[in-house]
Amino acid sequence: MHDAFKVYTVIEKLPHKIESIFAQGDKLYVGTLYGTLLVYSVREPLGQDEAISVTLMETLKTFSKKAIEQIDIIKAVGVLVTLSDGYVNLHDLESFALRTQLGETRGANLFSVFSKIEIQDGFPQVVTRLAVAVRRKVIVFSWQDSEFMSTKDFPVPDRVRTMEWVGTQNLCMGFDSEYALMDCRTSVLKTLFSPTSPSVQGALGSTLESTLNTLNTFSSLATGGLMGFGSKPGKPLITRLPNDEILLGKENSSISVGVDGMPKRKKGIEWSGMPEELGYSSPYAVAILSRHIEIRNIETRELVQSAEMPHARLLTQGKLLYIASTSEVWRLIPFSFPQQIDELVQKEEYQEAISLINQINPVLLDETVDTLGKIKTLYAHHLFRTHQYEKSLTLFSELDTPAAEVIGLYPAVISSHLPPKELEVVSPKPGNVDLNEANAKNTQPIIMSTKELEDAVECLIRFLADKRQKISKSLQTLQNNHDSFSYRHSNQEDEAEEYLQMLEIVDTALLKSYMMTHERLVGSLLRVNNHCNPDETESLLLKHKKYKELVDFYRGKQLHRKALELLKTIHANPGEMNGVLPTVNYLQRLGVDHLPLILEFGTWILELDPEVAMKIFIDDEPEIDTLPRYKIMAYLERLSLDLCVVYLEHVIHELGDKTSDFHNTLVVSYLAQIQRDSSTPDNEEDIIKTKAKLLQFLDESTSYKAERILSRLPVDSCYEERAILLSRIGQHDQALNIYVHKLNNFQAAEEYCIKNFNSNDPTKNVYLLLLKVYLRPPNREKPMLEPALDILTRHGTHIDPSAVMALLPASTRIDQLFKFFEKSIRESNKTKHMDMIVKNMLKAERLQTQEQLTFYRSRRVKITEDRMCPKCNKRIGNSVFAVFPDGVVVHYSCKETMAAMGHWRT
Amino acid sequence: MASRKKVLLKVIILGESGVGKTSLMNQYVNKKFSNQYKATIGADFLTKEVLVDDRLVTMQIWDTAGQERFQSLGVAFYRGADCCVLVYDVNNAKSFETLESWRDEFLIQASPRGPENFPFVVIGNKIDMEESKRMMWDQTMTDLRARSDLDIYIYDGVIEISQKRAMAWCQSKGNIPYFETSAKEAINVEQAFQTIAKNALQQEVEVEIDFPDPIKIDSDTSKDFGCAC
Ligand SMILES: Nc1nc2c(ncn2[C@@H]2O[C@H](COP(=O)(O)OP(=O)(O)O)[C@@H](O)[C@H]2O)c(=O)[nH]1
Ligand SMILES: [Mg+2]
Repeated sequence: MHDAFKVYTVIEKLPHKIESIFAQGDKLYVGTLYGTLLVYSVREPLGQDEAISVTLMETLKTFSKKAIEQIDIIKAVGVLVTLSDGYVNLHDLESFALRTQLGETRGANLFSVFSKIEIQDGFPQVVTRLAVAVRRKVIVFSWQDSEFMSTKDFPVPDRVRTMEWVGTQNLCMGFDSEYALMDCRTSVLKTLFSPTSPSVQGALGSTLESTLNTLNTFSSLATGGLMGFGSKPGKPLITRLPNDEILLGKENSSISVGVDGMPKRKKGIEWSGMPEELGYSSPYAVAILSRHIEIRNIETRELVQSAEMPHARLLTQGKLLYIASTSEVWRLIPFSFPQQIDELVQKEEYQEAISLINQINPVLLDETVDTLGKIKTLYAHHLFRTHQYEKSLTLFSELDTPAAEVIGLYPAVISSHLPPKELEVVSPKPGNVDLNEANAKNTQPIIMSTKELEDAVECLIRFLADKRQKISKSLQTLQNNHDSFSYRHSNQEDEAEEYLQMLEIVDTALLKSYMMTHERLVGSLLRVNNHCNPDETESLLLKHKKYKELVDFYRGKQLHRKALELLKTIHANPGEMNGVLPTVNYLQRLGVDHLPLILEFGTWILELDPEVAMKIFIDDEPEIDTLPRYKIMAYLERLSLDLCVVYLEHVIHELGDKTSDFHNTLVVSYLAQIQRDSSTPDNEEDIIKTKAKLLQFLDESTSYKAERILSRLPVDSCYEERAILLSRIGQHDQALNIYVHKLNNFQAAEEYCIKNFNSNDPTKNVYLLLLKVYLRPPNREKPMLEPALDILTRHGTHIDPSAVMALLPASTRIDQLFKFFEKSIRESNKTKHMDMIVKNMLKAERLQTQEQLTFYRSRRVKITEDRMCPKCNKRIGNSVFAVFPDGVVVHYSCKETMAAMGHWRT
Repeated sequence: MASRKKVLLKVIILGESGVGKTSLMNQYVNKKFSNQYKATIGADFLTKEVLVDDRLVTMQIWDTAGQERFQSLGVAFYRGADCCVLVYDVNNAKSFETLESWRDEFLIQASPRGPENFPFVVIGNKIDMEESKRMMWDQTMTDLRARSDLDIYIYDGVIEISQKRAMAWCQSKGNIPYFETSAKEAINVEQAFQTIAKNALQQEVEVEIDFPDPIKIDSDTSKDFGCAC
């Protein structure tokens, strides 16, 4: 409640009984029971404390013979309209002389005037309608400007108790039991509802509608039971509102209806009693109740003001609000709207204030200030203070209140990250109340219970989710416009920076909110693109031991070192972050750009759990493929021989890398492993395994450099490996020497020969070499005849017998060589026969060729002194010439032309 | 006259583009499937009346574009959702990997009440393709073997792993119902959406509020009274 109007007494203790009042401009017309018309001039007070000035201008004692029941004015025509003694009379507005008595209105009980400027034929004209209710009809008189146009009768089903124009075409009428809207163009009457509630009405008998259904005429209506009001019925009351809206009384309430007859507002106004009269003074509805008057906001329906006015029974419709009893008249003058708003704000009745601002013409307010926004903000704060969080936050969201202001309402658990509050500069306020002062209240901490805080945080989450999106969008728009406004570059950067700061405030608050009410969403927030403050996030998550989320956050923020350090610190803790796997997973996704980090943090996990940790280099992840193998090899070589081997085996066998460095290093690493394992006991098995791998690798790989490796082989071991390497560089004799003398493995030597023998390459006669190894041992050892003879027996055909004879010791028994010779001779016979066949075939070929030669020789030409070239007709002489198959001789140089001319070919 | 509560369930479908979101919706609502790929622009919805536990409800299914995450759609779009469907393509491991981000984004943007219990449903779509894809694979198998045996092993592994992983993931997120469907051959689509409707309804019931009755006006009939003369 506040003071919307100030009540002034205009007339006191009038000896005449007041029957009707009407006001226009500074004039107040009062009609009395005995037909006297009083005209007053009323001047509104200029200041608050001044009194109203009232002067009696005219007293027309014999204005009418009977009571003046109703007064109105038709300005365009210059007449005063009155109802008296069952007639409507038109008096001159200046002289009050009677102009016309509207004869057809005999028996009238009511009239209603309405004027409106309408565009007709392109000109604005004042259209005036005067409706007069005469028993069961309504007569409508029309004027255009000051010119009388027409009258028209409309039958109505009952006596009209009250009526009001809704625009110039629609007339709203109140009967005892029904409201109806009549369209004066079509005469269609649309019934609305009853001023009494249905239950009461049901008891009263048939309704108007049902009566109409049974009868097509109205003649019987008088007996229709409509008159039978027992208890005090609802009196039909109609008040016109702006925008073709009407307010209709229905018992204790008032319902607003549009021209279409449909309700215009969700709820009707509820008065504290049954109104006797209804009025409207923007934006308030006024009702006279039995003991007092009530003023209510038409939108919020809240009681705004009430005043004791005993015996009040009349009130004026229209802009100027007068209320009268039989002997008193009061004037209600509204306080200025800024003043009313200030009062409401002071009383924390923000909703009323907002509604008021929404309804009144903005020119009535100081437009330089966003009063509405300010008050709404105050209201949102008020809602918050009164623990209506949902409403409050929704309003904040609607107002797009800065996030910091809203977050600041929350205790430190949520708001501690806000920057220290700067003094807000607020522009001057609209009225007397200092909006700042109201603001100041907000800064006091709000005490909340845990439950309340949780509710409030729940609402905050939604506010923040909205906010972060709004800001992100603005930021994006800004960045998209970047190019087109490059001259504002630095400005824009500042602006972008500002947005980012806002986002940080919002996201950090959101994080804290989630931490309080929905811990499980912390991870989600930190995984999506977020702007949480790193320090705040860090300490909060550490405090709550949310390591996984913190790692996700670091990852998103590219704070990899921090993430990895954290993972290292907590690896011994039980739980999902235990062990090296989290670090492995993290490193796997870093890629080549972060190689130094991978290598740095790879070390501890490789030392702790090499098998799992090696996955950072050998798993099937796209990022791992990007890592430089050479660097990793070098890194692992330093770290651990075994891991280097694992890596190289992966690179070479799985990935098929043929880089010789990798192959060399793998060989060398195998050797190193063998050497290392040999130096300590009980490693036999490992050594055997490694050796097998090494040999197989040396055998299969073609990418290593044998010379280099040879130099690194130990002198006194690894003979087999040496043999393979020697063979790779073509040192077959040395290789065979090893098999024979170091390894005593004749079979291996033989196999070696089988593998390496190439009959087309005589320099590489490995069998002869092997024979030499057997029969010409170094250091004057005894020749090894047995294996030599074995080789000769089996592979003697590949060796030149004379070379064999030269090698065999003289003491060799000839029968030992039988097999060799037999094979050898057979082989040479075979070769001889073959050669003879070839020889004869070649001979035949030669003969053929000779025959051809003879044929060609038999074709000859003779170049004599005067032999001419048929092409150029010059002598051939000593020039080079050509002969066509048909014996034509031309210069060699003429040959092509001749041929082109078609010679011979045709 | 008491106004009957009309239940409208808002369902949002999310997932990488091309996984079959639009197709699933079309198969469910219109019983139609097209092999043609037409990228969805912005967001669009279809409605369908469904009977859930003897109760007729209207399901409003929102299909989204997928490509550019949600930013453009706005918080309002996600607010009031009763169920969120996360779709991936069983033949595309990457589309599965992104499910987590879709869920994260949804939870943050939509900020539903009681996010811990908000109903999600995961759908692995295009199961019909495994067969045909494998057949296609057989053709190129020889080539691949020449290069390495590994690739074939990996390929076979992808499908299997993604299914197992999908189930494990669903379980880890509070037992999200999981369906494998084919929008093309209408396999399991009906069942998946039935569950979606059921879970959405549960969510809806929890937040249902009674609206105040509108004011009542007794009569609104119009009568032509005609002309008396
Ligand atoms: N084989 C097969 N193809 C499908 C299936 N569902 C969708 N597709 C195809 O996948 C492509 C993308 O489908 P669409 O529904 O537009 O995907 P959206 O981007 O997620 O909406 C289209 O070519 C569809 O025909 C399915 O279950 N099986
Ligand atoms: Mg689509």
